[in-house]
Amino acid sequence: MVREESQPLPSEEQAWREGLAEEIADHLEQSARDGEISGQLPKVAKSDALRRFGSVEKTYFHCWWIHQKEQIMLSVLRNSFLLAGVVVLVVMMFLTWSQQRELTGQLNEMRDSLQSVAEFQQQLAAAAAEPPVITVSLRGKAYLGFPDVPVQDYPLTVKSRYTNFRRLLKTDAEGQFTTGDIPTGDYQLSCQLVDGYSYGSGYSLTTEYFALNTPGDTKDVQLDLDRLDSRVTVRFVPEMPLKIPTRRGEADVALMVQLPTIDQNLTHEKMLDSAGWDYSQLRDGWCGIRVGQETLRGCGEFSQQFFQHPEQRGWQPPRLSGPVHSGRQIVIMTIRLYPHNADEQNVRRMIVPPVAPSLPIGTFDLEPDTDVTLEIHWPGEQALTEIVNKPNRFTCEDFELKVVSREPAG
Amino acid sequence: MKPELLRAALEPILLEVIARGEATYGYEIARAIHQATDGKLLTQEGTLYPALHRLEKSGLLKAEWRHSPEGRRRKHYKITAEGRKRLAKLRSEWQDFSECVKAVLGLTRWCHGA
Repeated sequence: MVREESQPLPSEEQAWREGLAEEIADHLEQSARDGEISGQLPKVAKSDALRRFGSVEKTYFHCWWIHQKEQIMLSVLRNSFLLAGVVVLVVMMFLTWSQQRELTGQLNEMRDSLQSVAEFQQQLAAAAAEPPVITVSLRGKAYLGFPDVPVQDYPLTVKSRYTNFRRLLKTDAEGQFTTGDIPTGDYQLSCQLVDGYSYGSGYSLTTEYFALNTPGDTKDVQLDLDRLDSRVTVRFVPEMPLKIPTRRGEADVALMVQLPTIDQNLTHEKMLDSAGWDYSQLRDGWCGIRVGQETLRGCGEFSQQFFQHPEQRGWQPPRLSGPVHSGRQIVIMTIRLYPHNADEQNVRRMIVPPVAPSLPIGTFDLEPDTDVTLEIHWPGEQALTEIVNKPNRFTCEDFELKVVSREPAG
Repeated sequence: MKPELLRAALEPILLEVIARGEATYGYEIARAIHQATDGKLLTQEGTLYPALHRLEKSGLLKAEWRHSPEGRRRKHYKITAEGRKRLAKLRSEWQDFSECVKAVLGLTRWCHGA
């Protein structure tokens, strides 16, 4: 309340203080003088004057309070207002900050949501603009005679049926080859026959088109070359489903027959079982049957395909072109393939297990002008159903093959 | 004299003393009150000054500085017109008040009422 001595006082207040001090001093001096006049000693008179006056400090303070009360009250009031204003300002700032923080959080959430939506839209747009590329791969192994004799640096070509895709392959030291990732579709694998293999330079063996439609699947192909017996075999391993495109879509069953060469003699008949069959005793030519799936439904139609001898000009790989229901059911199918003039007693049946997706059924050495009969028997049939019975003289004439299917009972 | 009683009575006393012209500055006012009350009312002379300053602050008294015969500056008080009105009113109030107090205390027989 009282200003320090070092601080300069305003002239008005300083004058007031000096006046108050003079007023009190005059009072005490007169009081002491009156005491002395009445006979008191100066020291006693001063002491008595002070006693009668009372507390000088209290008097001084009371007078100062009266003089400064209004200013002090005004100052307190002003400071109170300032303090209240500061408090209100701080509260408002805190509320504003809190609200801004909340708004910032909401804004961030909205921005994240918007970004997610934008990314999702971009993904949708990208997905709409570019259809997803589903890739498959084809790999295989070429070996000479036996699987443990791999053929190295053997040229192969994989070709798409409907696009211009073509990829040149070559086997490695293990005789293995792979196409890498390729788009789904129908493909054809060609083996370039070089000197010393099979038919010699200039020939090639081309498989039929096979579909690779299962995303992420890897299809295996096994290429078997036999230089000594001039035998070339392309055999699909069981893991590879075969789907034959037909007019109605894709069929699950196909029967492929390639006739022997013309200069070979039919010496014996072979029967295969589900475990496979050794071609080592056979000559050129092959035949095979494929059952795409275990359950095939709906039989009753037949389809046919004319095959040509590979040495004939314009030879095409065997392909089933007739309409075949997809989803047929074949439990057990018996196949007989024998020369027309063969001894009936020597004709043996070949049992095709229902779960075997790929099964070669035989290669024959036939004499010229020999008719070949291929029979397929459905389970429960007593009599053999003759499928093919057309003379074939092996003079590069067309060979007719019929596949009969039927509707399942019930 | 109790300080509470003196605090209430000091304002009309000071105004009356100054209005009569018997005393105009602090010590002289204290002497006048002392003589009028035989020293019973004002036991602490310092209490005069806050009362004088309060009356001056409220405009009932007016002060001016003069020089004493000894050459010292001395503050003299003079009642204002407003102070006289206030004194008249206080005198009436105190008369009624003191009569009522006396009546209650059995010091007189009647009371006019405030």
